[in-house]
Amino acid sequence: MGVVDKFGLPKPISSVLNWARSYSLWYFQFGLACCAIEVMAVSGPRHDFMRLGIIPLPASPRQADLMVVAGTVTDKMAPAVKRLYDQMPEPKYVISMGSCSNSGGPYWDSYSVTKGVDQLIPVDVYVPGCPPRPEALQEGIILLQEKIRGEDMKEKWKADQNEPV
Amino acid sequence: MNLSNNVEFVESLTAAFPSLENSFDTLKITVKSSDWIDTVDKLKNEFELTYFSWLSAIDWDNEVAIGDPPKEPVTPHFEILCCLSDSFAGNLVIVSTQIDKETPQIPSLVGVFAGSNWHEREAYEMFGIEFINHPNLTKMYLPDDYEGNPMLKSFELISREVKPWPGEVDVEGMPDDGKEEGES
Amino acid sequence: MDENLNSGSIPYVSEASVSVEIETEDMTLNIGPQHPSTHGVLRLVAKVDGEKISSVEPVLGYMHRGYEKLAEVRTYPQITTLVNRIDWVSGFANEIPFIAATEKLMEIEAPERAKHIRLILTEMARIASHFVFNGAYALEIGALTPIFLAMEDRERILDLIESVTGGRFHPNFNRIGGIKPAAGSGPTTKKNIQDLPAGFYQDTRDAMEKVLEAVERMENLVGGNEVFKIRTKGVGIISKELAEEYGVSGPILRASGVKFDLRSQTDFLPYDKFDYDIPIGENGDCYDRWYVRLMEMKESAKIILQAIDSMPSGPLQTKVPKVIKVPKGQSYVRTENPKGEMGYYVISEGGLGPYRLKVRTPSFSNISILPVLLEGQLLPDLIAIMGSLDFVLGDVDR
Repeated sequence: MGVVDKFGLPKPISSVLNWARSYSLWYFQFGLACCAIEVMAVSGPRHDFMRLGIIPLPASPRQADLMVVAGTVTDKMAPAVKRLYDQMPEPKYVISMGSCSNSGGPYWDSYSVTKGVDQLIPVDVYVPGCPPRPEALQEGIILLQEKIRGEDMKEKWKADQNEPV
Repeated sequence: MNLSNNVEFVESLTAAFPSLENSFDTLKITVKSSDWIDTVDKLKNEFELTYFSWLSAIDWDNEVAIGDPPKEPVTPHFEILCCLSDSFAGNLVIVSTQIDKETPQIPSLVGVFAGSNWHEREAYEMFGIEFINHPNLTKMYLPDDYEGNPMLKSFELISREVKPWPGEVDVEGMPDDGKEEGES
Repeated sequence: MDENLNSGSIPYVSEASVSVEIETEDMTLNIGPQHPSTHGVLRLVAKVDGEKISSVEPVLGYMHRGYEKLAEVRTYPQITTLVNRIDWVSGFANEIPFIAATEKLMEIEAPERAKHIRLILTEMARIASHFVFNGAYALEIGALTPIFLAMEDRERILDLIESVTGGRFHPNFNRIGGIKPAAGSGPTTKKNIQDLPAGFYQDTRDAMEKVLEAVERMENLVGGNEVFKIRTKGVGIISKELAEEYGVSGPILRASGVKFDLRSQTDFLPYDKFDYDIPIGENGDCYDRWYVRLMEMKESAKIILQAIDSMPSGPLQTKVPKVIKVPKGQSYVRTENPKGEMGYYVISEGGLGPYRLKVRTPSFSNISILPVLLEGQLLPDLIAIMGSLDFVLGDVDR
């Protein structure tokens, strides 16, 4: 990695690497609320997000590249969400799925709900809806893949961020 | 539940508890807080209401931080409710009692129905009611350092103070029927 | 509970389980709040002695969203949106008791046709919920295939719900006094309103055939599997008395041999017109709970087929005031949710919203039995037992 930090990568190599990364996102199974059922539907046979290169295998954050925050984040859950995010190795991506994790959604005035997961962790793609349809999540994934393909690896892989907690 | 099927049950219950009232097909017995455990025990053993449905409380107060207050003046108090049912005919009774707000204490039902454990913990957290002889009266839902009892009528929802409720437009009348709007 | 494992009546459990006692120190094992088989964010703090669980303390609140408080600051029509999301795998079934309690207080009744449509959609929600359970439970036991089959079968049901309501599983379709009329037709139009989409009856018949097929397939594929039987038969037995004392309801209560189904008590949905069985179990173990739910899907499909054949015509909505105010009063209405007894105690003081709304959710009571049930069990059985209770965290924490 040290080489990448210092000099960056030539464009052909980085675009090949980015292309490869964008289609092998290991998705960390992390369901919170209603949206988790919709994530199950996306991983099911009809919508099947494996064809987009999303691999729903790791139940541990240590092996994951992508975290989909699917559902309401409560104040009690917030430290756990932060911790799970910190445990993921770089480069890592977050999709915030559904109104609740975007902004609090129907619980915007609740005394126990965090009003948006972006207060805790950086979010790459927001998917609106309550809950979003499976197609909406798929579009969110495609948008994330586009983002990854356009990434500058030197920026992304800064040495100080490489260590998982 | 349709009460016309359970006439006998209602009659025998009225004989034992004169305070029984029927409000929209819901039977409710009001007792003194000193009779709380005895009443529940009697209903369980003599009226075969062996199924513990739920336990909760209501905060009655005219001074509310949020929402609509009761229209008529009430003495501030907690009403404790316990809902029992049987598991064959669908008979259902709600037992109600009142306690003061200054000393919110009531004996725990854990000895009669072990299932009331979690329900009482919830009421303790939400209203600050102390259940005497409860084995594990600790917080249930909220983080340990959380202060306040959210279900109290004096509890404010801070988010609403910061930003007014956007849905208020929903309850206003449509522009073409100004007459109905004046009422609300 | 230990005797159950080694009782002679169950031939599947090996006699070799823990015969040598070694003194070991208790270890505290934390499961969750993020764990793939806790159906969300439940946390269990278990004290284990080797493989044996000596005590379990569930920690709730990771999905507590404060429904009861929020209901106090919402108007009645707005609350339907909230209550959809309590038990999120069967959203439609959650709306029914709240709407029924409100209608009772307002002393209005929905028209027959609306009641029939409500009933059909409730039963569809039940089938969809049980499909999720079937797939997820088999997955937890270690079989990967059933979840994919179940999700595809569930999608067919969701397609039907979506074609009527426009939403996949949070329909928000009930209105006080009826159901949502189709776009363009006012609530007072009496004749020929397009409430159900074209071809709905035939699509439903086809889908119900598929459900019956799927149930049979699931019964053979999962129920006929030796591993599944060994892991569920005789495991996690709940006695009738224990279940009643803790307020355990729904399929779990029926698996313990109590023939109690609130559907036969409801007067606001026309269940009495239809012919269906209430499946019950004998032993109250995990297998029975799984089997009761499977059979319930069959019965629900039967009810839906009958309801479609006897669908009355007529309006969808009774006349209600434009601004809904509920007169002073208190009413508790409960229904048979896919998970058990779901009830709302509405306390109205005559305002635009309730003074207090008590939500009685089935999963909360159902899992309050966990500390008793898991004591003395083996650690691998924990997942099997927890999965068989089929809880949803939104339903537990509210």
